[in-house]
Amino acid sequence: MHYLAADYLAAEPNPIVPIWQELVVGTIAFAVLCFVLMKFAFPRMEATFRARVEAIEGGIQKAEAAQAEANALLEQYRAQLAEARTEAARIRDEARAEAMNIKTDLLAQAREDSDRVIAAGREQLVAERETVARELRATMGQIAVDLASKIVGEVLEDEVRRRGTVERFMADLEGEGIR
Amino acid sequence: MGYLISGILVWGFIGWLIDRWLGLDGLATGIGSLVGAAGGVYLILRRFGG
Amino acid sequence: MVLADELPFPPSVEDFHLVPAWVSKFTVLVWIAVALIIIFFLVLYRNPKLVPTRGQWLAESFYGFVRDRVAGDLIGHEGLRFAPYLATLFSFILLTNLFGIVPGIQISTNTHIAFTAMLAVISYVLFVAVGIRKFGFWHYWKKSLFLPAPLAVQPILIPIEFVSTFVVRPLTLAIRLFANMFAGHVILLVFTLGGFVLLNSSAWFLKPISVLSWVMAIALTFLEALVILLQAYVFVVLTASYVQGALVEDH
Repeated sequence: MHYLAADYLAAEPNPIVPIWQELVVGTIAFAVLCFVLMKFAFPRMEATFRARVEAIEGGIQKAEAAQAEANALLEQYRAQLAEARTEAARIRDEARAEAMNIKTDLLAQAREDSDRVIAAGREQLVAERETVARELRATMGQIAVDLASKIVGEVLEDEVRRRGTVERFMADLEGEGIR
Repeated sequence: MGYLISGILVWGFIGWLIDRWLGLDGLATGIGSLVGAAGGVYLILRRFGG
Repeated sequence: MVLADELPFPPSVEDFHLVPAWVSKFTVLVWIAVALIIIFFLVLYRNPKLVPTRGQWLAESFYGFVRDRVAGDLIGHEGLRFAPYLATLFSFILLTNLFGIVPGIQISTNTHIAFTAMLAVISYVLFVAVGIRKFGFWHYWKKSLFLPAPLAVQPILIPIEFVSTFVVRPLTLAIRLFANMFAGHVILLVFTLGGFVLLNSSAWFLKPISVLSWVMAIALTFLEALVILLQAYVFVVLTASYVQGALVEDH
């Protein structure tokens, strides 16, 4: 153990001083490494990274397109549904209105018919009564005159008196009949 | 860190040269180192202290 | 013991210069590292798919880590074009560092300052060139050296800025990696060879301590693994941050 580092420090190469052969070799070797990796390895990785990003973005775009299409379809379907709904409502309203019209028409017609029937009946009734009354009046007058002539035995010469008597009688008769 | 070392090195070296020139026996080296350290601190503060 | 005479102990600087020539252990190791990394990436990435296989995923996550965590986060969007270089740098430093704890190799090429200096110079040239290309020669220098400060103190500050940016940076870059690897190797050597020396010592009571020494060597190997990873990362992160500093707009 008698050899000490100090003994040959002077003769030794100094570790702080680079060996120039190593500088040259190291530079060349590192340059080769840089050339190969920076030319062949890492650009391909960058390309792969880019391709990957594009693939992901492409996928997103595709998904977005599908989503948009689905939305459009849904919108279309909704529009159609709403259209159908309004159409149905319109048809229903129309039907209702028509039904109402028909009903009022029928009602009016029926009322008209009944009115007409009633009016006709009433007219007929009035006419018949008038006829009856007229005949009755004539007959009654004749009967009354005949009766009076027979009773009195004389012809009533006074026309005015005769008519007044008959008229009065008729009026009494009428009042009795109506009651 | 680099600034501090550089400052002391540069101005210490200049001080050392002045020492040699005027035979001041290390006075200028000390002053130079101090100036360099102060400059280094100033630069650090300027650059990293905002 | 026959071994006793052949064991160099304590480890000395000479251990790092076994055959200082064009074809030394170190130059050969560098070529091996380059070959291994190229094979690693080209084989795992020979047939890239959108949905990665396990190997492809491994290669991608390595590159993706440097690309997003270092280039993207540190430099920003502009930094993505430096990602290939940073990833190359990281893989190279990491593997050559790893040689330090690989059984049978046991030494990292980064224990020789020539290699770390070479890498530091490239980083240096890179960030200066990037700055000059973006801002033009004069503007870049002005931007790098002038901070808004009172005119009176500018003569004090400018040399500091200059030395800090253009002298200390590359030096520390090279020396940090080199010193870490060098020190790690020396420590491992001390404990491993120390074990042998203790075992071969004439004093019998020292022999069992050799086991302790080897246990320490193994424990320190794990620590060394951490240092290896950390130093490779630090080198790349610093390079990225220097590039970022060169690209940043005027303050």
